[in-house]
Amino acid sequence: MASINDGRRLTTRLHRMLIVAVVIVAGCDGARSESGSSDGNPTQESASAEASRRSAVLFRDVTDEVGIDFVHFIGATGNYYFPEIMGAGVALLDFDNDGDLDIYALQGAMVLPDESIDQSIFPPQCPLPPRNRLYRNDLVVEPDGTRRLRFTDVTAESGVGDLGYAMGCAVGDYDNDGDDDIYVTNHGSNVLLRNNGDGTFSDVTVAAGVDDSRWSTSAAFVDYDNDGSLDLYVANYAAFTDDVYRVCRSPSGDRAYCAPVVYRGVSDSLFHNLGDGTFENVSESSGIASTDGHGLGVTGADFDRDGRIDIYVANDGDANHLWHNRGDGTFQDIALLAGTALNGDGTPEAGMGVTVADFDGDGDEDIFIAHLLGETNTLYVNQGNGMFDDATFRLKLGHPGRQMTGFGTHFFDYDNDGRLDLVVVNGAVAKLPSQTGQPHPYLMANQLFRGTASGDFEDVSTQAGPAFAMLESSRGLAVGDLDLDGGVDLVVANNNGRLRVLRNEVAHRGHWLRAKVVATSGNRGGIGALVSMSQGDETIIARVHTDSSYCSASDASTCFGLGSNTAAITLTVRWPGGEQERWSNIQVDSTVTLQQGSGTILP
Amino acid sequence: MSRFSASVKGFSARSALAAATLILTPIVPGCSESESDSSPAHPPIGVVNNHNLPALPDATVETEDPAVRRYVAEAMRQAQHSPKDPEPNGRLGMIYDVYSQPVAAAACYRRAAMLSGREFKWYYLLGRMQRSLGEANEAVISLNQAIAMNARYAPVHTALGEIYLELGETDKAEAAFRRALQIDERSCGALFGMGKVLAGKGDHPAALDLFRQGLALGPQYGPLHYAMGMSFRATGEMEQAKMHLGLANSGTKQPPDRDRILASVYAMDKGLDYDYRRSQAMTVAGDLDGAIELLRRIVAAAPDHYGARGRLAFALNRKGAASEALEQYQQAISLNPDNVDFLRPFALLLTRSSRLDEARKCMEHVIELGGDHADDYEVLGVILSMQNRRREAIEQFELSLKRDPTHTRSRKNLIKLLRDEIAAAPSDEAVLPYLIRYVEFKPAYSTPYVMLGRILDRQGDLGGALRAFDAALAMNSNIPEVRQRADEIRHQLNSTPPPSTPASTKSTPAR
Repeated sequence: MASINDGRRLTTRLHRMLIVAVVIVAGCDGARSESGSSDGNPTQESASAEASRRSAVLFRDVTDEVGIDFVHFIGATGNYYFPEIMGAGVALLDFDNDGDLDIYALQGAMVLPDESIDQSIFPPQCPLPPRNRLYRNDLVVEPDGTRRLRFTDVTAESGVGDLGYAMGCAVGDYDNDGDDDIYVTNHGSNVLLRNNGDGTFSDVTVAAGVDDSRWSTSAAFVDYDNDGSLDLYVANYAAFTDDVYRVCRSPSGDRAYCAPVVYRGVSDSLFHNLGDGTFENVSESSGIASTDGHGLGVTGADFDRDGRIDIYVANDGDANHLWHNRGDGTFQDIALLAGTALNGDGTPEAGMGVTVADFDGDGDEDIFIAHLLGETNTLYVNQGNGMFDDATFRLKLGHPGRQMTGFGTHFFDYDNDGRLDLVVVNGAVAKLPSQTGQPHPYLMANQLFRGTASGDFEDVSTQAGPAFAMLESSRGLAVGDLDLDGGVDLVVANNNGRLRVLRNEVAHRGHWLRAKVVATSGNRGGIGALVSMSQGDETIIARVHTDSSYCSASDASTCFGLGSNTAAITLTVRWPGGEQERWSNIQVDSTVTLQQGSGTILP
Repeated sequence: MSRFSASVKGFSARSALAAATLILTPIVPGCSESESDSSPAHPPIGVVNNHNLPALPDATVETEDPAVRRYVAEAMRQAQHSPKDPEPNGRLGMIYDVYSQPVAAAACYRRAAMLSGREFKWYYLLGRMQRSLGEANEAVISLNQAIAMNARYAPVHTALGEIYLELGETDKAEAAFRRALQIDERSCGALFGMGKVLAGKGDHPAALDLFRQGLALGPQYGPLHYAMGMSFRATGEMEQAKMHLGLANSGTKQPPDRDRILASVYAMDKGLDYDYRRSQAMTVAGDLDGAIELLRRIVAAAPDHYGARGRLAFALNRKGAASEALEQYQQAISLNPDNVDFLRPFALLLTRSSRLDEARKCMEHVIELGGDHADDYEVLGVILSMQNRRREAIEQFELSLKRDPTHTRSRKNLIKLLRDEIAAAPSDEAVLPYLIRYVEFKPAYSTPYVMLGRILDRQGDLGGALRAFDAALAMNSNIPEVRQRADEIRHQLNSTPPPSTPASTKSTPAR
């Protein structure tokens, strides 16, 4: 029987890291195939793939080489204002419709308007004044398939450099003009940036009627009434303002950030899109405003498969909300009976980011939430009828989560083996004793969990490479295939730290398919549509969405990992409203655009 | 400011690794299954190596209470002063434990375990902390070490069973819970654990049986209610499920098992919040005098502790000390003006004290705050009716019933007010709207229908009048003049001659 031997555990971990480091050096010789598994022989792949999976770098930090120089500014003055420790998110969107994903980074500011930047403990490492920034993806794909990923800062010319204290954003084509618009949530007034279609944006917040001056965090564009126009759900966090500011201290008298319980939770907002560029605030009439909470994570999904988008909100320390869409413009919070309000012990947890997907392939959407250190991250498995069970421990996600404070999180298939994996980005919100004396003692490593053949998850963080060993205070996370090579990449927003681009460099990824949808009769981006990918006997579903994670927006495309299967694919889209359409004989390792009306309409 | 903010954010996961450079010798294999002896029969199993002792942590306890900060600092000083003595090291761990600093607590417990060598309580507490830090395998080892030293302490087996459940090792979990129940058959935690094992196997009826046994021992144990709720949901008993799920979050988080070691940890909580929580338990238990004494001490030490003031007001009111309760509510509300939990009882107290204007404003404020509860509209309605503002009161009762159509008090009050309003109405026009609202409640006697019919008749609404008369006759067929008029109207409407003698009219003369 083993003894308590954390030292040996640490040694093992360091040993693994050394192996990883050796592989990185080897990888610098350019041995990696850029085209993933497409040049490999699937029949000979399994043994070498397994060996490779155990030893190779899975993600590489390419932030410097792709030209991302964004450093988050928190405006800390030593007063420990609550918003300083909570931001920020990041978005992936194709704002210029050139087929690749651009990056929108959310920036902090001084928390109080009468403070000057000179008072900041951490000098800003960005052009002044600190503002949100947009980086255009200038990806070049050479004839031999080599990809050169490069980003250019286009903030000034695009007009998206909002100066508010940003927390997060939502992305969606709210005006159905064919390009992605951005809704920015701030500590203070929020901002709706309409994409003009020419590389510039206009602030239309007032005209559209979507401001919320409270402390907003995550937001989601969803078409809850299936009228073809994207509505907007905005999560609000806490009633923190300078007039209710509290001082919290450690035993030795040190200042500390207060827990959310110190500040009253507030209700969320729902804006109904009237289809003419304006919105109506329906928070009261819909029932959404009937409950307060410390909202941080938001996502829309059809949990009970009744054809209507429900809304799930992860609350920090309060019971979560599952807003059941009743189809008449009103919502009812059914989280308690659904089993998603509390964890399996009946306790509310500190919900941060949330992600939803059919990870177990049974045709319904499941929920995963990142939580505070000492709590588990929690996986609620849908029983098929919108009722859930907490399966966190059964699926081996309980104990690793207790070691970290998780924020951004996303289901995705990093190795394209057809099974969804999970990424959680972490960072503390109270000083870590082990980092006492450091200027920003809230740093943690991020975590990667591989979906296994037996249906549970394996913590592969230590195998993922130095990118997953970096200690940072991560918050936002967006996922998408930045270099269009079939591997889903990650963008991580760090509190008081650099924005990181983590490129998927899994050596033997499986085959893949990326599907973009374009609706002609509903909301143009097809947000809320359900895409079913069938290949032989296998069927995987994925919903078109940009929301989830923490204060972030991800690529709306649905990405399917196919493993070694190269058979032709059939895609079926169930559009918002219920119409179903099918496309057949699609080849693997490709990106397809499914325009409504171009497939076969199903009865 | 003297409140302790109990929810503590962020502990060092990395520090768990950093503090992990200690080595204990392996435990004797197989001891974990032993239940032969309650005494520490084994030789010391920890070998102290000063180089491997984790450093004493200096963790943040997020509190606004200076007394708590001094208390933790003093415990730290004692541990520093006696670095080789397990007791002050372990005691500091217990303090960090109770103030939700698991990393720091684990480091202290580890020190205490290493320094004591054979004191099973430090291994038990260390195992608990390791579990909460996600170090499940290490926790299993620590708890088995504790069991090797003392196999007769049921809570260790229960804790071990919980970890095995989390690890998916159901058989081991079941064995651990069974052992706990062999030692203490009244262990709510072990019954709960066994129930979860059965629920996990899909045997919800058997699980519910065990949960019920556990609930008899710990009716306030929140996780047990939650597990029951989920099992009821699985068996389709939704009302039971809702009830138990609703109770989960308001209950206690620990089973009420006898666990003297854990009790000694909780006893380390010396902040005002401890007293505050204790006062709640005393109030619930009916010890109002004890609660009032405790709460008076808290508000004396922390005059801005609005929670304590609100709770004191509640207890005073229960004791019949209305005027002092009013005063405490007033102060609590001045500190926290938007707290509906204070505003509601304050308004009721004001009402009972005939301070109706203040009570009305108070309830209007509650409603402004957006609670949208049927009860709030009802209370405002009562206040308005006491002020003889009948029509406004009627509106409030109607709003209450709109929120909750089954709200009996609102319904009764509304009917009463409608009757008053009808009786006082000076004209057909004035009485009609109230009469219509009144008959919507389907009163079981004929008078209001007759009244309504006559007014409608006078106004020329023959169809409406006929329906009202027919409704009246359905309640009481023995109203000849109504029957006659109904037949006349029917004749007018249908052009059919009225029968000369109404078929069902009895010979009883009309009043």
